[in-house]
Amino acid sequence: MIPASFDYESPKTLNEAITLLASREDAKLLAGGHSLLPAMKLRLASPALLIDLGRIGGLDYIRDSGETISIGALATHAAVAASRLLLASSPLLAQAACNIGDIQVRNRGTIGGSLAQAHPSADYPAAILALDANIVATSQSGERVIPAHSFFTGMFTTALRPDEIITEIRVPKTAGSGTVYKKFHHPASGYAVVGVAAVVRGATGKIDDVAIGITGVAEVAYRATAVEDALRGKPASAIAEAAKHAADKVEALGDNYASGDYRRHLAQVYTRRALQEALSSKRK
Amino acid sequence: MAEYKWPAPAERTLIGKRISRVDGAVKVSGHAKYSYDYNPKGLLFGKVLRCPHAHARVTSIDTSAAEKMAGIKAVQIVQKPGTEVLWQGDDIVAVAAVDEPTAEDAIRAIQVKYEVLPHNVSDAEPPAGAGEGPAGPMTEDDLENALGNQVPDAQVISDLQKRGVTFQVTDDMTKELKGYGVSDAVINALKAAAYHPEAASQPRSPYQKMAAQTQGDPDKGFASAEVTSEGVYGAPVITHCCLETHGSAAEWPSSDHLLVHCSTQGVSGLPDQYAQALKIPAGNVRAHQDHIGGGFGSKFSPDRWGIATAQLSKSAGGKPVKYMLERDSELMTAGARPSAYARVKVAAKGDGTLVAWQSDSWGTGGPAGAGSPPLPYVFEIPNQRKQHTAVRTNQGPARAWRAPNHPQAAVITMCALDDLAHKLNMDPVEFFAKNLDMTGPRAPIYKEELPLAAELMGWKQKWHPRGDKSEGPIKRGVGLSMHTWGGRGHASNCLLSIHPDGSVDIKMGSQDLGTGTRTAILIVAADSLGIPMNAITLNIGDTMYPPDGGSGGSTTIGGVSSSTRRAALMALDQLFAKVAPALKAQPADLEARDGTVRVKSEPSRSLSWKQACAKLGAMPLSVTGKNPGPGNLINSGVGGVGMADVSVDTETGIVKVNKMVAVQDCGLVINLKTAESQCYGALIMGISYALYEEKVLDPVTGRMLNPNMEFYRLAGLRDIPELMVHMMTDPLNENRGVIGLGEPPVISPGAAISNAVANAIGVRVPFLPLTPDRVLAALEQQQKAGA
Repeated sequence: MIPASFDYESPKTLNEAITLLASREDAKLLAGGHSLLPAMKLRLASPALLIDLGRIGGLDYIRDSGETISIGALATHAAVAASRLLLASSPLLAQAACNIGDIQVRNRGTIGGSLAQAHPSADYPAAILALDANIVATSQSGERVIPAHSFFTGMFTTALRPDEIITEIRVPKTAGSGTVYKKFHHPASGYAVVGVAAVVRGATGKIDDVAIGITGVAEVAYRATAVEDALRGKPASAIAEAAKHAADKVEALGDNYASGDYRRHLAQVYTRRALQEALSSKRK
Repeated sequence: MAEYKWPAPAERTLIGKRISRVDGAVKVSGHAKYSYDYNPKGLLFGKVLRCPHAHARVTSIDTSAAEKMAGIKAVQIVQKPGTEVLWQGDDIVAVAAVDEPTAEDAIRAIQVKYEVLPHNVSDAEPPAGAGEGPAGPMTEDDLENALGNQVPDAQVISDLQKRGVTFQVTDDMTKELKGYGVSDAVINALKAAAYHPEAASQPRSPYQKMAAQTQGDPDKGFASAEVTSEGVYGAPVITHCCLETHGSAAEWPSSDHLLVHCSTQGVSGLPDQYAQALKIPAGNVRAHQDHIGGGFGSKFSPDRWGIATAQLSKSAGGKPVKYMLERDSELMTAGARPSAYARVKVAAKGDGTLVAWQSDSWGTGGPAGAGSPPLPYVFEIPNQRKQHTAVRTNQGPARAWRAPNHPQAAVITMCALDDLAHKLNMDPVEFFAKNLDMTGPRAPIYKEELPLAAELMGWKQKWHPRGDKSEGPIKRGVGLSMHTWGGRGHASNCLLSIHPDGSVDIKMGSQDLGTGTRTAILIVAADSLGIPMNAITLNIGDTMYPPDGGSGGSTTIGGVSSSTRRAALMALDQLFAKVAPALKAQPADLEARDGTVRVKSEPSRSLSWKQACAKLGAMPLSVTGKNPGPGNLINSGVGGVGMADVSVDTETGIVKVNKMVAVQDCGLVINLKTAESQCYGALIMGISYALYEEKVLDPVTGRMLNPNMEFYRLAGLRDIPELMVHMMTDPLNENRGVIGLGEPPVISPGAAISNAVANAIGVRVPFLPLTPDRVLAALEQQQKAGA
């Protein structure tokens, strides 16, 4: 439970960090460390250099950018969970953030670190997908905007290039929609056995549009498009039947706590419960 | 001479009251020192290289690279090349280094080669006919199994004569067996048994079928029955998962004197075990322990790693070496509660009277198979047929786990009885009540406890026939179970001194397992001497003090309370003899109360405690109270009832416990507060093994899949419901004397929760733990059967 030895740098500016990252192939970024440090202690990861982003100032903002809200990559889960701005204009991400790990994890872990880690049972990916958020990556060649649907490419893998650092997340405002993040917590680790993020727009009893992101079930979080397609323009009574397609064509992960079949089953139950709740919690 | 009995209820000042534990403050403030906290200057850190295979032979060990590493102070081969290793995680090589990272690096630098052998880690139901037919010569495990499972002497003797043995019978071995109470006839048969050394290396069937046991006439019993229920029930292997892992710090103050700080349930029992392994006199071994972070039956031995730690220290010039198990090693190797499963057929008359029982049980406790659970549990059903098959598996060996074999027996029996009650269309409380005369000597107490538990649970309002018919996915139900245990106090010595300045001190080798033993000793001594608890200095947990039994089998409270009571009464006898002339009274007329020594008939004729002790002269008085000893201060045999109220989400399979009730007797209660705490803790541990705990082994690799606390989960705060505990403290119970309590209340929760789930969802989930997938599978089967 002791990591192999490594070098450590703590750049004070984003530029320094980008330069360092580009200069070394065996470097890892530290942005909270709640996934990386355990992996290093188990020697699943043995980076030769740790670049600690924690000393870079000004990357932890959450601000109104008109149509969207911009979140600095170093905003902690606790900050996202408590953001009045998010809670008022785009609460889904905050709803997901308050479900992450425990108080200690939420106080240290950052949204950029979590997204870059792309843990198959992390909470943010479901919300990021359901919101059609954008992820801004920065490297020596400048900024690149990656849409959520093409960001998560596999278990622990993303569309980020080796020399890129996530610097910002942009989420649309969801006024007029109901949003819910419904999570089945792993009883010990707190990770999502299944997490369903739902955005539902519609008048009483009728669903105009819906977006559903699901984490924990497959190698990578996904949009439950079969459920979405079955619900657009349909009455609320269609939810129960539509939710049965929550894990269609999904290759489910299994472990010793929850088998693949059990996760698929939970995805259906939680999708139904999330949609019903989202519809009834819909904002005016 | 003092009369050795407990004070009458009206005279008790402390005994039986609710008293906070004396070590509470140091524990919650972090000042209490555990063996884990022993960090002397110059401490070296031990690590152990463990076998990655479930079954293998060590073919070669190369430690040369590790030995050359800077900071490595000692390397100790624990199991030499040629040794057959029977479970994953067994100790192969130990190292000591200046710090933990260096020790870990050294472990990585050691090259061990293994010949991997076939393994079996499955404790699934034995195939028909398994374990039958001509058995080969008996191994030591076979013998231990037979002796440990009350196989009749005649059967053991006949087996020894027919089969012979695979091991050499030594004098040490027969001496040890005699020590365990094995009969001379068996020992003679063992000495005469043919020796077949060649058979030891031959592959053996993993199944060992015990002799069938029959009572009454089971065929006639079943034929006479009006209702019969059949089912399969059981509980898997679970681990002890002590939060302070096993381990010790060892050092050699001189070349033949060993000092160990060991996390142990039996301080006084350690020196002999170290002495045998290290070939030094037991008197040269000092063991010490202030506090322990959990043992549950798994911490009586220094263990292989503990002996290795002492050897490492010796090689390192006697410097202290500490090695405590890592969490994964703890879960893989440091204790497994055997599994037990059974196919049960149980039958009753139409009015609910039990008439017949049949069980085919099996289970494993690792390489030596497993003990058979006492079936049927609690109820002596008149006609019985029982057969047990022990399954040998390649996993860390079984250790006693809080009430060995009883929780498993409760699950098998109480769930089968609950299913029968359902078939009889009876409320289980009425059905159990109907049969209480079959519970033997504890029947009167069960008759008091069962209705009381039902009242505390609100059973009448909550119980419904199987299957909660209310709307929605959440279903609620209640269930019950009953249990029994012995708990007679162990051998104990209490060295009590009263000094001329009025101070009092007690020295005992006993450990405090966290159960409140310190507090109990002080309560008894202070109540007996008529002085406050804080006027007494208590020293325990060291082999420098008089020996005391190990804390297992719920034996500590009976042991320490009775030896302390005797010591206090003996000391008062001597003190009164010195004080009597000053009070112009006879010693027999005196009493010690309220901080004075006074004349019973005229309390105003008194001396303060301090004045009285001054009459001792220059020397303190010192006495040793013993258990066993004069007077009937302790007893054995308790009964208890457990009930559970649960909610089940039938869509997710999640079980949530809403409320647990424990009604328990344990004779005379010394400290009502810590007695209740024992029950609270037991209920929480019960919820844990009912819903979460299972040692999962991979059939392909033989490795443990959940050797961590993410996947080997214990109940946490969120899982703890309303807990209601009631101790039976009426005079009838108190007059029996002190009886142990540590184990009994943990027996019933598993069965009670399983029964509550069946009541809620209308179908039995056969095996613990009641995980979501098992709950959903049972519901699905029920749906299919209904369709």
